[in-house]
Amino acid sequence: MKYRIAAAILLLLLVAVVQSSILGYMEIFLIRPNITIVLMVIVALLRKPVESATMGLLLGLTMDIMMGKTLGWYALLLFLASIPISLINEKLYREKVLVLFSFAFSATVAIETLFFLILFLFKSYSYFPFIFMKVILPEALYNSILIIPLFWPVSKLYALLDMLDIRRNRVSS
Amino acid sequence: MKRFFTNKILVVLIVILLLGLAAVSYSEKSGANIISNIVSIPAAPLQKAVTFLDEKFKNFFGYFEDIKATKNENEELKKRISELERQVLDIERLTKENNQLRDALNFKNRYEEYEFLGASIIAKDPGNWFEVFTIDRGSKDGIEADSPVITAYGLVGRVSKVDLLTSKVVSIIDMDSTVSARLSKSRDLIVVRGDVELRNEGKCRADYIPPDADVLPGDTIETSGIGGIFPKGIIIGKVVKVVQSEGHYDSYAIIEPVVDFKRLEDVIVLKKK
Repeated sequence: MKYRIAAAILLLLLVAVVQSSILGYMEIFLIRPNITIVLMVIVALLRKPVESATMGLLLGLTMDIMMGKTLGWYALLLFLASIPISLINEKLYREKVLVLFSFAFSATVAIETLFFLILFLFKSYSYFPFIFMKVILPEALYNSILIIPLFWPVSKLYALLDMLDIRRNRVSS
Repeated sequence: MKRFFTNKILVVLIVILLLGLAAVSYSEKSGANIISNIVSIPAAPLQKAVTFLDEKFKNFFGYFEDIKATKNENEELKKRISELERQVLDIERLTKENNQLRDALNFKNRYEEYEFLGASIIAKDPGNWFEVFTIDRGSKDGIEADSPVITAYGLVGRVSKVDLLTSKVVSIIDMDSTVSARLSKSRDLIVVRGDVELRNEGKCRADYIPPDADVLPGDTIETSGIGGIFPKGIIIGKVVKVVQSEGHYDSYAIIEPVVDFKRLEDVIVLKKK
């Protein structure tokens, strides 16, 4: 368990730095990918609901903190989005590129659209077509491509953590 | 069945907690924002390291390009030196004259109540929604929320959240930003605010332009000092286009800020003495 917590803390710190600094150099048409959503999808595809939802919540909270505005919206959206994905993950061919692509794409579209609706709740929704075409869709596309190289290292990390847990349980028993 | 309901109750509880957190942290000065120190304190040195490496990388590749440019620049600079020597003499005379006039008018320095604090940008907005960036100065440096942030050219924005080591700055092109401003030429009061569509071009808009105001492209816009956040007279930018509408107060102007937000690296925080 302690390895799992340490790995989660390191992953969150890495996400915070990469999302706020390094991804700035990878912007295409002023759009940067959102690796908190990408990682939430990967974790939800690999793990059980409780672990996925916890990681979704923490990844979202990290994003909220890095943005410096209201805390809790991304945490709520990533927490809720991770549950349905993790509930059906065993029925899916998780390693298939099409599965990864479609889950990252649809999760990004759903999360960012809901985020827009929350953000503009007391303003006007007249910007929605512009935001959808210029921000949400390009970001969803970018995330769907980014999930492919990221899935393998994250799944290896979780396999390693599982192995460490099994070894530890064996030693203690 | 029991586990199913226990989990459902837990999910609902977490949702309620997160909604509560959002409600509590909505205000920029909320105490709940102290939570952000959990991430910002360990992330700050790493973000600084990334910025440092980026600078070194740019300097290394920039060196070879610079040699060629330096030769041409050298020629031009020699010409400029003689021109500037003449201008220095003029400036010395004008400075003396200016000081005499200031004394005569008992003119107070408009920024004398502020302390200037230099800061470097260590991270930009992590998402695609806002124009907020992180600076390497926090509450340990005495920074407070709503402190104005400027450069030598003009207004950048204001500090929105202060953590121990870092602070978040909302720029004037952010969609949540509004600044009370004035047309330098006619002295008419207007409101400069961020716009969802214009922010990608690094521009913002001026609203509430009085119907009789004479606004033309090229006009300068400065802070009005009304509202208590920004001191009076900081240059915001220039009008690039005026969009006329039929309604009273429906016209707006597109503003090009004097600050280039895409290339912004260092800023000055005005700290109240």
